[in-house]
Amino acid sequence: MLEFLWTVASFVIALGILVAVHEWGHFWVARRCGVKVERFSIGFGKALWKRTDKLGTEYVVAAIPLGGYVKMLDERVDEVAVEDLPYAFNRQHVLKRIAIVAAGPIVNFLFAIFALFIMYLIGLETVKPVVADIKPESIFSQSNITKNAIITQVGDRKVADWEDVNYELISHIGKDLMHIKWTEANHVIERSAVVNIETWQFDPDKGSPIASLGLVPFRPEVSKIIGYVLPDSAADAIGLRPNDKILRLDGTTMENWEQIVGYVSSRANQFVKVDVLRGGETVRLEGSIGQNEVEGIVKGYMGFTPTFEAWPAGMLFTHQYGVIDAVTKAMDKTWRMMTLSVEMLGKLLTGDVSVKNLSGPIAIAQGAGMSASSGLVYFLGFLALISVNLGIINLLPLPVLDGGHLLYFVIELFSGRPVPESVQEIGFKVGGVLLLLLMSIAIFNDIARL
Amino acid sequence: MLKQRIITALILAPLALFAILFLPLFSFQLVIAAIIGLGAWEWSSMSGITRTTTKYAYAILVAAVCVCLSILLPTDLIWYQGQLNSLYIYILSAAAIWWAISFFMILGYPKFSSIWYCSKVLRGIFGFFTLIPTWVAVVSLRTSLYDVDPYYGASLIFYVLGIVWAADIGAFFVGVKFGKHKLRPRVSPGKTYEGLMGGIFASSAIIAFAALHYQVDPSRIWLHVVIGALTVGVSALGDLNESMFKRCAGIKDSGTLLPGHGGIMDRIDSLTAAFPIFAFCYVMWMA
Repeated sequence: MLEFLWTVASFVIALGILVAVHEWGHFWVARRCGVKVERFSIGFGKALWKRTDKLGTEYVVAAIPLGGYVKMLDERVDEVAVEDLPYAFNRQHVLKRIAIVAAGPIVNFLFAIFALFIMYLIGLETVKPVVADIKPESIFSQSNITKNAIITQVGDRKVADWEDVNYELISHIGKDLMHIKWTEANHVIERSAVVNIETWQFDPDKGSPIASLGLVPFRPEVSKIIGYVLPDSAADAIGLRPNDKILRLDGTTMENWEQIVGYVSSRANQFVKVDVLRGGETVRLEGSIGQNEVEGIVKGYMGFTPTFEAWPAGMLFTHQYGVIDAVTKAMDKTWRMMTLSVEMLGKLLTGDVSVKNLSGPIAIAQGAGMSASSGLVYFLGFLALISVNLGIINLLPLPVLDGGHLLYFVIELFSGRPVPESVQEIGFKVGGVLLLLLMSIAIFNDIARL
Repeated sequence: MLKQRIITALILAPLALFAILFLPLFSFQLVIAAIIGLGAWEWSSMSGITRTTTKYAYAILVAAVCVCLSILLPTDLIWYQGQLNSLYIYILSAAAIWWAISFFMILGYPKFSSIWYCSKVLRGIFGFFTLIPTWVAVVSLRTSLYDVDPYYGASLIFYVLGIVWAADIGAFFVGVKFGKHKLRPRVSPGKTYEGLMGGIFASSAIIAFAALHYQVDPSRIWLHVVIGALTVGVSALGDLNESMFKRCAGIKDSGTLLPGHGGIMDRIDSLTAAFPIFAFCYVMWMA
């Protein structure tokens, strides 16, 4: 329940920020262009909070936090007094209208740069792309890439951490070949390979792109030392504490954490004797293993988690930069996010990427919750990603969206008169149906993945 | 008026249902040809033709083309080894081009209308491009996969009718019940945002239902959705196209054949665009 609330709260905050930023873009440019803004609303529906400024603009925070809008004076929507006509949106030069409509998505991109800039100033820890193993019979098993390789380049882009690798792998979906470069552990010789990825079938339901190609990222071993004991659990009742190192269960020596889990889960509600190393001394504890029901199967359950062994030196590194570098880095990353989003949309159209990859609001909510619990820097990175996506999606030339309005205005720019409203209506119908169905697919995917 | 409209619909609907489902293919072709002929009669008035003999000649010519096609191409050869007859593909492609042109004509109206405005011949030719592909499209859809499932083609026809009519019906009922915000108060006071949404919602529901019914492969869902949305849009285009021609001829209803509905063309205007374009997309990408 608490986790659910956390997810919802993160989602509302993330969306609130992004909607506010987007609408503020429209609002600010509209004001600069001399258009009268009647209302600036974050959220739809019933107003929760309201304030009116001296220019007559109403600022509203409304109940349904799934979007927002800026309502400008417009003759096509309502009656406009003659003295107000110069301030109506539809009376502006088409270039001004283009600026007002384009401002929303553009501010989304600027916000992404800003969020990433802050993220790089604070600094975040990432993991070097070291390959621990390659799954047999996988696509990468046909290449000469070996264990302990440190991936340095995918395609024509340098990669520094697994997140970069993930981005570049995704951008290769639907291609036939992948150029990849790596160094061996000694960091001197750079090797390269061209991997044939024609047979690569990426399915988001079956793990990450990294895993689906057969790469196993290096991660530290799980130790036999307890990291966390759930209050009121079986482990708690037995008397286990964090930092206890498990030596034996019922006299059997435990080699690793998997063995411990296996031993426990096959003995639901049974009595167990646990030998642990605590403060240099061996301590014997006794009690009953608990139980946990997963999908109708009862398994033994203790309620503790292990600690991980420390990352070897050089595996983790911190992306932290000075002001200038952080700006360049943030712009770089935002640009990559933009190009990748466009690439993915293109592949969706050509069929290289299945509609199964579409994610909707639920996936965004989960992402928001997860990144928020990982810390502020991750939340900033997540905000930047969603902000870029929001900007790109809004620029699609679908009527209903900003891009659709831009399309009408560009036509007007060439034809010299506004697109007839009857034709605009056709556009709204086509755009509306497309958007409604795509949203349904995305939400359907989200639910299927839950 | 509404009562008359409903009575007419209640008489025609079972007839249409029977024709689509149970009529032997050859008779089906002739029935559609007859409807197209009646449409052509009305189109001749919209083209500014006033002499009764010329109107007869035009209507008979259009219907005769359809009948000739039915005689020349036996129904079991319309689709041969999963391929639509190439003449029919050309006709559907011509229709696709014609509707693209029509779109730009409407977009530019009345800027370039002087080219065709005064020409009865040109407007008559436009009628050919509107009516004959509709016949070809309906017949091609009806005979699609006929040897596998004789009702498959009928279901495709119902699908197109469903998309087009759901938009109108959804818009009408949602507009009446919830309509509050006027779409364009000065041009068409009856239309509301809520109605527009209702139409969009209803059409989307039909498209989604069809995706489940035909068990569209996930990799092609996208295509299915695009074709559906295109059909919704193009049906509205058919509507506008007819209005534009009627406006040129200075008439309100295309005819008086259907009590309460106006003429045949008023009823099938959306379909003359929706059927050829849907069939074209279907033949190109889905068959």
